Amino acid sequence: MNEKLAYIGLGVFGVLGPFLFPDYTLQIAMLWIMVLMASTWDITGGQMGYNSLGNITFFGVGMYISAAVQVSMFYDLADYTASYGAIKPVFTESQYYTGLGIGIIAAGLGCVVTSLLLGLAVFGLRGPYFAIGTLGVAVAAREVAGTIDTIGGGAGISMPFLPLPIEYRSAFFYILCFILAVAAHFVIRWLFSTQFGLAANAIRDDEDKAEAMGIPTLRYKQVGWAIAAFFMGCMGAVFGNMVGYIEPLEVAFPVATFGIFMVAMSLLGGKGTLWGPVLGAVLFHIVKETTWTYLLGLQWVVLGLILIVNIVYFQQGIMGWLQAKFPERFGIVVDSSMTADKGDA
Amino acid sequence: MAKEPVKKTAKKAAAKKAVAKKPAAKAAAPKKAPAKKPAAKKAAAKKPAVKKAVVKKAVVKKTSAKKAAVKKPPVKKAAVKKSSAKKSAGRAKKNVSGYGSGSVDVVMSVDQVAREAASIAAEAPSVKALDKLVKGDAFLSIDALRAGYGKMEILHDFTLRVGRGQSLCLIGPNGAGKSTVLHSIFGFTNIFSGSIVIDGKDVTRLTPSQKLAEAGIAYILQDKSVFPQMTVEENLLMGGFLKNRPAEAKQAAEMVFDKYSRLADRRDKPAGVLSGGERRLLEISRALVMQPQVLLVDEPSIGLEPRFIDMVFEILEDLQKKDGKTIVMVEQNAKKGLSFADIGYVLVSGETAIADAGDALLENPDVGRLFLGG
Amino acid sequence: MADNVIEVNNVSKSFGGVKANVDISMAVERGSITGIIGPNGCGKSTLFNSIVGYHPIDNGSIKFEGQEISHLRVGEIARLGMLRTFQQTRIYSKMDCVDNMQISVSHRPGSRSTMFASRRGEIRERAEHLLEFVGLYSKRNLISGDLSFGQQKLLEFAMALMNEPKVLLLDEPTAGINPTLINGLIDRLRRANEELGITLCVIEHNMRVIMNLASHIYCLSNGKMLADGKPEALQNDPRVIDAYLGGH
Repeated sequence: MNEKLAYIGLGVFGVLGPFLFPDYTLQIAMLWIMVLMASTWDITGGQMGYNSLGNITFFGVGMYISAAVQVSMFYDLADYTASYGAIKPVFTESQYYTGLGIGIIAAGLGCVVTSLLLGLAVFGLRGPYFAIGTLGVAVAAREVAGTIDTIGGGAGISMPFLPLPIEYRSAFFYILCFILAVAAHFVIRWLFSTQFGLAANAIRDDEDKAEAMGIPTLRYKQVGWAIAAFFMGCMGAVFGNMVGYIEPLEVAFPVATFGIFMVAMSLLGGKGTLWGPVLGAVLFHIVKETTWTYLLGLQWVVLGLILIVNIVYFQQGIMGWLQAKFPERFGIVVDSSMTADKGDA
Repeated sequence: MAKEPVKKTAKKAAAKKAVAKKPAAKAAAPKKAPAKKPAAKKAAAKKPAVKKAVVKKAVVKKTSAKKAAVKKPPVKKAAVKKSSAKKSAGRAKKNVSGYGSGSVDVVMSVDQVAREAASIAAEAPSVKALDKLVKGDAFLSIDALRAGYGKMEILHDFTLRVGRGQSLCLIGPNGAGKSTVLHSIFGFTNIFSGSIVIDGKDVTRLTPSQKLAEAGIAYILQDKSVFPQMTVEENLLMGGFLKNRPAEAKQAAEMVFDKYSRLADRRDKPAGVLSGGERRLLEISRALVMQPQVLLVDEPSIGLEPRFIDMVFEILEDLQKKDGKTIVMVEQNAKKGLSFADIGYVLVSGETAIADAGDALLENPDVGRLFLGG
Repeated sequence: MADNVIEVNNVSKSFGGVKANVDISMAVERGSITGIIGPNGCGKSTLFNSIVGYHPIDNGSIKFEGQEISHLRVGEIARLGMLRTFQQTRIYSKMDCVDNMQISVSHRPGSRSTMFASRRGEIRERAEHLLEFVGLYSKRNLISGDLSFGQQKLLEFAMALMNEPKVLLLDEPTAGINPTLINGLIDRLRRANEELGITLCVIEHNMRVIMNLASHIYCLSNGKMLADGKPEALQNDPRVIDAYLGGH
């Protein structure tokens, strides 16, 4: 399709955005976070048919893991959090950056392990039960995080300060968000160009048939969710540092907002496609930002309406609608040749 | 194929004998389909005569009349392929039973079939030729229909004519558009152009409920379309869902029970426990509740065991001959369908390749080779 | 003693009060083509389901290549090399035909397909050739859910062949298929049996098919095994005629 154009357009915007709109740097960073959330959700959601309402769990878990690693590498975590921010320890530059680097990786890997453990519990469920099961997991994670004092309990953790002049802070995190989103996109793109993509779609279309044909469905579910968890964890780590202060309810585990947004974005753009979630994230973010700015008080109504219209009338999303309207552009054509032999007619 | 002429004369001789014996056989096997055994034995007694005359070179292993009464003796002698083809063709003239019999030696690739069919379709029947097959005036007429699903056009310039009280069977390769014809008549497809006229009224753009309620067309789906948890009676009442008052539906259901005692015996049982043949009977009679004039039957014999196939076709014949219904059917069990129907259309790739009387198509060697399995 | 790839011994299965299978015993010889016939509701599909592990059995034993499998699940049995097709055709309806074929490749340990294998290459070529065989080559890029019923059935059949299983259980494979193509399918089944060594077990109502295909036939009725033997013998067996064929 017009993929090349899309890549150029988004790439240019991504790179130049912060320079052209410096006041909106963090907002555009949010856009990349949304793109990553929607794209990773779609791995198990749209492509595999396992609609998770709990992927936000990995966002929060990653955030906490990174925070814990960043602080405890150099200080005692329990003491740090017990002071509720009264003690402001100093992190040297190298301390900060090593902490951040290792923290992000630890967050990603830690979430992979988390996803495998949680998968044991939830992958026995299907359809709406899986959705509710994962939702329960996210809510539980939020509550549990609020009770563990070592990681700050209900009050949370104050994050180490980025040792850069304040005018560069936004740009720094922006770059991290952008890189993660781009990496996630290309990993997902590769993933679905392999047999994995076929297996995922087969599980979505008829899991019993897939099992009956010998496809080890559990393994595919685990791998898919682990990849989503990895990127969500990494992004959570970055987000935590970006905000500067993490706490379980609003920042780490925003179950009712971002947890649902990622589903809505994929639905809007067209779940089960590579570009659907991206498209949906962009549109959703634009609508959200404009209504927040200009229709304050009505923003939830607008978002709610979009969700309802989407689910009731427009389930196939934008990409789905395009595919139905212009099947030829997507390669869904009847070949005139009747034979695979490229020799005879 | 120098043996063809020999086969044909043998066929004709066998056919004559088959025809001569048939009325007797048929009388012995009346519409008491449920109570088949006594009737079957009588028919069995008459059959051996026919079979012995037809089976000339067969390796006759069984000599008793009872054993020869088995429906498909030619298939037994798989070694003797030619005589079995002869036999099936001979008996096929009016009396195909179950799934038919015969060998499976005519193997052609789908590609080959399509090519040969395309060359036959090049001399597609003209509208005049189609009119000729109709008895009296055309009751259901389709003209230059282009229809399909979504953006995909399946039928290209399709024309059909069938007279009141006639039956028409559509056969052809899978994906040719046979079910699409029925779907189009009933309103399930996207009609790009063309018209469908019933008894002088244009019904092309009516919705399916209008077709059922006003235009007198009923559609009998391919398979497993009963509501399994509802009782037989409730299923019939659902057939009358579009009636103005429930009492009318109840009345119509009672009429169906009068006609088919077999259903009446099971009126309170959930439809899911019915046997295959009874379910098919329920599906057909449910469609009758709205007293349609046209029955669209999608694969009446699919998935049915052999002894119920004949029963279902007897029911359809009764509906056509006694009640004067016009029947358009799709039947992949082509031999059976063509032996039943007055008119046969062979569809290939969305167009009619050949149209002729049902029996004539059965005897057409090209049709046999390309579409009937030999 | 025959090398039986499947051995069913005294298997019984009930659903609620309904006795679907009562004390069924049968054996499928390796490399053979076995047929199962019987009236609707006699327990044929239930027997298939029991063999492939769709549900546990109440009594009895089922052995595959000498190994007890009655406690194994569908996926595990499929990965041992036993596949089945469904009476109500099941395919991956939102994927196109080539993709349906490609994902049907064998997932047995030691097969060439791995989780992240590329989608081009040898697998795709084989898929396209099999699609050509069933006449779906020109439709290979269409979404499989948009095909007609008969075409979907052909696709499911091609998918099963793609997997190259050791044993293939086919549930009414020719219902709704054009008669001439039925001949082609039978031919292909025979070739798959002879050349690839795939053992076949077929449920069928079309006697023309089963008589020309199977070397041994089992007839079920009312959940019990009624008769079994060579096709010619069964066709003349009065019990079979009574219960199933009809003496019309």
